[in-house]
Amino acid sequence: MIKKLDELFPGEKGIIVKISGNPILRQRLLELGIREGKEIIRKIDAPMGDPISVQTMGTNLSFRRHIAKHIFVEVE
Amino acid sequence: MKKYKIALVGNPNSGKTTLFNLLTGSRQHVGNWAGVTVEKKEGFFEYKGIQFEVIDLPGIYGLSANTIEEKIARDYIIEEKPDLIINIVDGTTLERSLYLTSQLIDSHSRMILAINMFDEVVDKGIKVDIKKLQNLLKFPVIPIVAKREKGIKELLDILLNSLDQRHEDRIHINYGEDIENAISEIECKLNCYPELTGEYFARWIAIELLSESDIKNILEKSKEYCEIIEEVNKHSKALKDIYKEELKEVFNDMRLGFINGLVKECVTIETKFSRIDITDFIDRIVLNKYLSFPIFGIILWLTFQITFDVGGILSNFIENLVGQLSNFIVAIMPDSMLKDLIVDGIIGGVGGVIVFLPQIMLLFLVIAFLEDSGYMARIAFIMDKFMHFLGLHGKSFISMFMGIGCNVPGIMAARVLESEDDRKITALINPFVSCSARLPIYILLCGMFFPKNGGTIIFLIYLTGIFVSIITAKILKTFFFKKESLPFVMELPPYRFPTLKSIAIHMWERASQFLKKMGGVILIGSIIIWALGYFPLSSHKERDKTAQLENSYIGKLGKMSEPIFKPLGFNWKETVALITGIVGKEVVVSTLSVLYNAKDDSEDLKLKMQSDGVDKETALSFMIFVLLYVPCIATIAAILRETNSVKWTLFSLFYGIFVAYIFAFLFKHLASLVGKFI
Repeated sequence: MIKKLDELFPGEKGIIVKISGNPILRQRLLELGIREGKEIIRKIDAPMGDPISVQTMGTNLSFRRHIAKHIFVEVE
Repeated sequence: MKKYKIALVGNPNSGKTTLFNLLTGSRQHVGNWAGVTVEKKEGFFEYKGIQFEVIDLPGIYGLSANTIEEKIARDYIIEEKPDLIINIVDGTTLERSLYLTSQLIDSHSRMILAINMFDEVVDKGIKVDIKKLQNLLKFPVIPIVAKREKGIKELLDILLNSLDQRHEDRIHINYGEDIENAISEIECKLNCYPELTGEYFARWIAIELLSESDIKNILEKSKEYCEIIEEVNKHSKALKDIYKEELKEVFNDMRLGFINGLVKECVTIETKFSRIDITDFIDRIVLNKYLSFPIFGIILWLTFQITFDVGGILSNFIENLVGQLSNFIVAIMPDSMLKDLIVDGIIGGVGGVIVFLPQIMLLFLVIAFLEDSGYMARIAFIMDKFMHFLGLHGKSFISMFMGIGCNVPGIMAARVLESEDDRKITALINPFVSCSARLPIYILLCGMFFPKNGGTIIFLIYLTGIFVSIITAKILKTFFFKKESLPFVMELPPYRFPTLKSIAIHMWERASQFLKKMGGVILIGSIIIWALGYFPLSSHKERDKTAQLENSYIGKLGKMSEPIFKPLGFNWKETVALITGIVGKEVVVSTLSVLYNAKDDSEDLKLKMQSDGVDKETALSFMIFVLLYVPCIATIAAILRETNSVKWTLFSLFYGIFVAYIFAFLFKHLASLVGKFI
């Protein structure tokens, strides 16, 4: 099943299948390690609900929710 | 003798600066890149009789020139043409970091890949086949642990060795026949202008042009600009027809394919037993929904305590030293103008600012610890939503909070922000946060005019300051820094215990910058204010300070501008106190006592002020004015340093006066309205 990253619950993992959004956002995500075909785990949210955090390629990243909507993840 | 130029390139948190400090020790120079507030660090070292100049390029994740840091790094490599690039990567995020490496490969520079934190790599059960990686990349790869100074000697030997070797058998990332053909044709055109491309860069510039990177600033210098662009457009159009997507994406796909290949060949994860990840464990506590804010509160409180309480003790010590120095000079020098200049102008002005030094050093000690340990990123994480409301970044909060103690370290704390615009806005709004030097003025005036509800009034003043800084942030963001900020994507680095050495270096850098860069501005400012209060010399010999100040240029200035401040209720004496307050807010109270010729108790000052027409409302508007108008010289110097712009510093001054005037006016008249009803 394909979900948007912000629909994953904390601790859930999946494989990134598609990243949408403008080229600058996609370039930035790629540079920091959000890449198609890689496993990603949703981690803890900030106490006020935004931003969220994820783990991928051995590193923890955080970004705001509206960015998470651009990341599509295949989950089991 | 030839001096080799070495550039350090790597992701933030990859240990780049640790390596830089290891190589250069104290032989380094910290400044800014031209026109921006991004830090530029250069240093020197010698190894086996050979001289090296090292530059620590800003921490970046790629070379696409989307951020100012990326642009600086790329332009430096193209324009300065370093003899060798040391690409330092955090071994635990090797695959991620190799993207930057793949872009550096396009530059065809001589390179060494230093895989840092290799001890953690081994601990995590990750096996990296260094030999194989080296063979595939065709340049040296070396594991190091910069923090424990492991592998550094080997790195230096490899460095010497690769500088000796011919640089011909270089690695290429093959972008496929069509693109490669286009690249070589553009390369051909570029090669006619060797002053532009140097030995190797033609291919890189061709790739950058095809992927529509913002590289025009470099090319515009050449006369053949149009011709080259025409050639590029021809190819990119044809290629887009073939690939049916942006060429940038095509290049990226190829690069990622190349990296996947490397990782598949050279990296194996051996053990997969699940150890408790320390970082995960700490995050579960400090980012917990209910615990995160209390923990952050305690850490802020500790920061504040260390900076201002411990720092305060040291400050008093320095203050005593300054006092003794000035007493000593008073005792040994005959009365003269020079003596007055040294004692009142230089020692009084600069000494009053030097006392901040311990606080600044301690603040940066704490900040260095928070940054190097990884907690700073978590602060940004938990505060982001709140600060986002102001159009700012989570990390701005630290700066605003520090401002309550003193605006100088508050403004200097703005440099923890990644985006240049955010740094500027954060620095510019800081003076409105009421610092501790302004508190004595409120205490004195509230004690005199609002004996019953002084606490409430002071609280109201602080709130007004925060309100104005929020509004100012909004205004700056809406009208002046409109540029869409880069999407907020931030790394939460693993927690690591910082070494004492790295923190000490960090702290010393800031302190020496404070001394060097601000010293000049503060010295000049203090002398100007002193001279305005000193000249023209009064004719009568007896040293009547009140008459002296009244007849001085400042006194005249105060009287001249009296009509301007009439609507706020200030007479020339308050105006003069405001002008001298530019040296330091501490001076405002003492100037008032001198001008009113008050004896050493506030009751006397109060009576004299009241008989001069100063009422409750005027006192309130005076305090509001003090809160918002021009900050002290040290703060102005800090703004100048952090925004790196005379324009913004002047803006800050005039905007401050403007806002102060409006708010003081409003408060005076609202207060008298409220007063009528109560």
